[in-house]
Amino acid sequence: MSADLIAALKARHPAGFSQLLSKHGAMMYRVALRLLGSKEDAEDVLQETLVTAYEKIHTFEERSALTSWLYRILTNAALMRLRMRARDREVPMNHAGPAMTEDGRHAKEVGDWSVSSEDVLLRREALSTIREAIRDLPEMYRSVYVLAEIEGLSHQEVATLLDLQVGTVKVRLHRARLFLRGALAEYFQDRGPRGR
Amino acid sequence: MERIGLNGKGAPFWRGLRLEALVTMLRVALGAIFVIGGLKLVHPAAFGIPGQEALALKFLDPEMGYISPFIAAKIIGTLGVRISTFLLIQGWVEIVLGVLLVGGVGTRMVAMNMGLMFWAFTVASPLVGQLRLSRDLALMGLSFAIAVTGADTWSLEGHWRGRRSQFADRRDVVLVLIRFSLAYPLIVSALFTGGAFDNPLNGTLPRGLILLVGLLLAAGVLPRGVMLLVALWMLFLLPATLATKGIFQGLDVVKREIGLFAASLAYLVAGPDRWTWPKPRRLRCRDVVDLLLAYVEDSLRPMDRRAFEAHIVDCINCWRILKTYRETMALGRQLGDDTIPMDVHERLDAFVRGRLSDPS
Repeated sequence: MSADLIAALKARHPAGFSQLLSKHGAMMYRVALRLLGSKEDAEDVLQETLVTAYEKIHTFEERSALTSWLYRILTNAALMRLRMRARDREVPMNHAGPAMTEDGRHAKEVGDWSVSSEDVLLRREALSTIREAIRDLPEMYRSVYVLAEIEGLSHQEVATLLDLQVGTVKVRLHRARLFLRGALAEYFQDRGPRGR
Repeated sequence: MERIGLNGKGAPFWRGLRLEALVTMLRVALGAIFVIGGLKLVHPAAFGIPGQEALALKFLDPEMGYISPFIAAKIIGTLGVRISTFLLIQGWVEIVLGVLLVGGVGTRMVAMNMGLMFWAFTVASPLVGQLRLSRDLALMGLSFAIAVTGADTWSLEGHWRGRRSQFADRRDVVLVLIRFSLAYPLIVSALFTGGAFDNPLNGTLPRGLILLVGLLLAAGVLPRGVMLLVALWMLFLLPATLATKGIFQGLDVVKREIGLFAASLAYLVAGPDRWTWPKPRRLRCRDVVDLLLAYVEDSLRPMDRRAFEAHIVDCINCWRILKTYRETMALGRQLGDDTIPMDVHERLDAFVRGRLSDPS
């Protein structure tokens, strides 16, 4: 199936690219949308990715995975567009975790806002909150978070795609998670206990 | 996923409460010691002493008693009361303070007063200077430890005001107080044996062993292992004494050892303190937050993992951080299920079939 797809792509057969879209379109759209935060931009970047794939399919070496190749094209295109925007707010990510006292203790009581998987409405709210908060992540953290957490790529794969050290990937992923955890905690704290 | 509400309902009840349970145990044990001591003064017949006057004579014994001639003269001359009356009043004071501490009312003040009274008992002894009442000085240290921690969750005060003790925040100070409080009577009991100096500590094990245990505790060498021995020793001592001497007399003889048992158990579970060898690996909350990723990925070194989990057991805030960190990961991964909207897919498909079929 994959070999047939690659053969069709290399032959630049339109049906091959339709098939590529059917098979990997959701992944590509998801990554683009989470990186860019806008449906219009995501769609544009997807088009750019398809065009680039079409133009450079002859450079694709079949010993590597097609998805990795697509991730690289897509993230490059998305990050290029993000950098052109150059409107990242300054978010102090090294303090993304909970507030601490000088001697390293929690400065205030930490709330437990964990959501039951059975509570569909609450879970939907939590997902909506985290989608919003991802947009507030600085680009360098967002790209790592989207690829590692949402797409489930390994630290090594993310490091290769974004040309980073594995240690840097871990630090950025950790801070991104802490930032999003804080956003969720803030949301549920403001919202208060259910039924109120 | 566990079912946990927004307000934290459903969290394991023991999480973060282990240290509270230890404070409760020590507080109740110390209160019980005062109640038992007070009952002996108020109702001596139950403890095999014929009456108040016989009790007074026993307390005034120049070697085996507890009130020196100097202190007795002050009680009679300055306070103007008989020794038997004084002991009756003292008994009721001890009972009231003991009950207050067992209930956990005015915990800090009561514990502080009890600590000072244990010191006064030693000063009033006819053998003062010979450290006969070293176990009372140990109980003084333990009372001060409770004064440092304050009321725990299960005290009445804690229940009314929704308070927790400060054991977690002042852990090292409390633990070192406990360690020295136990080391002291063991060393003194081993050095001073016979006659008035006999006590359950120096009468049940070889003196050399008692001295070694005391010195190891004082030096802080492998203190948890040593505390385990002490706890087991006390656990043997308590029922053995009650079995041979009966309930009331037995409790009177080993009442102090109840406190020593509670203290050794508390140290065994919560220890060691930081001034020991080997130096314990203890993490701060900030370290735990830094190690979250490595912990959830199971890539911590075994010793770091043990230190992480030891912290999480007692720190409800860090436990909640870990829980919500995992929840954040789960929510993020759920975003991986997002699909491409149908209209976007159709437009892109049209783009592929139109533009890419004719690259020119």
